Amino acid sequence: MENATIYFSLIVIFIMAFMLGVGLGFFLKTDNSAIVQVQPATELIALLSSKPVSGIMIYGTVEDINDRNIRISNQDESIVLEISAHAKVYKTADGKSEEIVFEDIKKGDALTINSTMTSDGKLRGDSVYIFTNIQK
Amino acid sequence: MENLISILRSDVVPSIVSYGKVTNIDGRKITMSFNNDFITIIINDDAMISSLAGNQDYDAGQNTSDISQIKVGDVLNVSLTVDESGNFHGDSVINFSQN
Repeated sequence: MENATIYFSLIVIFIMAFMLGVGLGFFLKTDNSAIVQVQPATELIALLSSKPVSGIMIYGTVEDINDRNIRISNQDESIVLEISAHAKVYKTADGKSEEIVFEDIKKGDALTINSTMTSDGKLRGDSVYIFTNIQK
Repeated sequence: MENLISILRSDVVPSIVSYGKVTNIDGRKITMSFNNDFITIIINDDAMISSLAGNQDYDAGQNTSDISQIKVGDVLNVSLTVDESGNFHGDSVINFSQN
């Protein structure tokens, strides 16, 4: 009778330990769906500056011009990029496009810039298209 | 890194253009190469896919196509965006070399 009580107690303890383990496992389990593989910055820069990426389009309004650096914004987001000294600048109006010089770009102009990423992760404007003048 | 991805995902960057020859296709994941560099792009389910060359099913010109018609060796122009993890997603594909 005493042995039966001991065996019964051991079984109860074992079941309780098992259930506690299952409960803890469920509670502490890793949510794999939350794990996101993020590309290292250097890898992303290398990919974006690689040969298959022919261009990164930039669109927005000129906020500021400092030397050949242009701050361009769109929907409350802005970036600064340097326009290459060799970049061609075009102005398009009435279906016609004419080549102009960098100095003709003004604050408020709406630009589309074809840029590329350099190996150090900077965007460099290779060609600039002014489509409209927006009075601010 | 977050800064770079947030810039690439911002409204200032409407799209990124890639060009190359298809070297591998794994489901909707396409790897392209150009001048010995490689890029892998996940083509979105709703991506607009078109071919510029004529084939037996389509007349010459730009035609609507689908991902199953893209083959290793095809030359593609893919307009892509970057997701929050830095992966590339193709929004539109032009296939220059379907025959």
